[in-house]
Amino acid sequence: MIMTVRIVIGFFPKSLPAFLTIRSYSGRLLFSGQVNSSRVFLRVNTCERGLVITVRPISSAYTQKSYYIDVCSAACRTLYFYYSYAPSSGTGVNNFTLIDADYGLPVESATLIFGGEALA
Amino acid sequence: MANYNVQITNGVGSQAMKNGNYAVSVTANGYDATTLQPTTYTAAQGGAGAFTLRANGTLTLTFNETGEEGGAPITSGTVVMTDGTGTTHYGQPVAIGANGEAVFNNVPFSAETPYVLYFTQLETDEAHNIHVGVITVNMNAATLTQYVLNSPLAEQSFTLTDETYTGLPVAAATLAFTGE
Repeated sequence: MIMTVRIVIGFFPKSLPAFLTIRSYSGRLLFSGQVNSSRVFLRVNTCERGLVITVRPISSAYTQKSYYIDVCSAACRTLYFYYSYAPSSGTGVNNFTLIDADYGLPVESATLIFGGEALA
Repeated sequence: MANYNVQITNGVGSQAMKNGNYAVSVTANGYDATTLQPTTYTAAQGGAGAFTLRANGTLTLTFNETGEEGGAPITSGTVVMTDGTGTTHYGQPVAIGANGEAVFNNVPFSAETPYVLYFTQLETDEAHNIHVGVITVNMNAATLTQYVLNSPLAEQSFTLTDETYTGLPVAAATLAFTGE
């Protein structure tokens, strides 16, 4: 039986660009592309046992994760799926610029202070 | 989560950082630290962060015939903030008003270590010579006025005489000079 399922994907703690793929349980690619909005609406026609949803954040600061959703056993036509970003480990060089907001003039001398967990 | 202090010199800096989310603040000579944007950053290998700051000083450049207070002002023109060579322009040119003044708002200043700013005059009015070279300002107060010399054009003298009767002055005539 073919059914149409509407999947709503919400990204937390905030919306970040990510590469999204959705495959059927047998591996058939159903959706592939970059998503930028805080919610993604998809329509899936499938009679297979389930879907594998993989989210790969564009920023390497966050890890890739995959999830399994059983579509065919869904009691309703709309599935809500919430993806939570998890920071990846590692250290790397970050480059910064600091300029005058009104004139574009490079700030002569300053200290940027990075500390603690950022606010969501 | 580690903390980092990143030194910025002439607008750039870099730091090896652990990946993750950070709150960001700043200390900067001449600028209002509360205006930093953005105030959060996500660090990653090869990450890049672009930040801005605003200042709240006001500079008035007054262009006149003496380069000092009280001189007869020019009546129009334009001037722009530049680097020390006058080659790179920062922001939009500012118009010189009928009173000879050009006002630059939101410029950095510091009483302890004056912020050095540079300007280049782009245009002057038809009766004066433009200031040649870079104008240097030591911005050491929140409000500052600096005078810039635009000398009056040199007066030229002309004669018009009859070609046939050498030396006979032409009674009345108009010489028209068209600029290049």
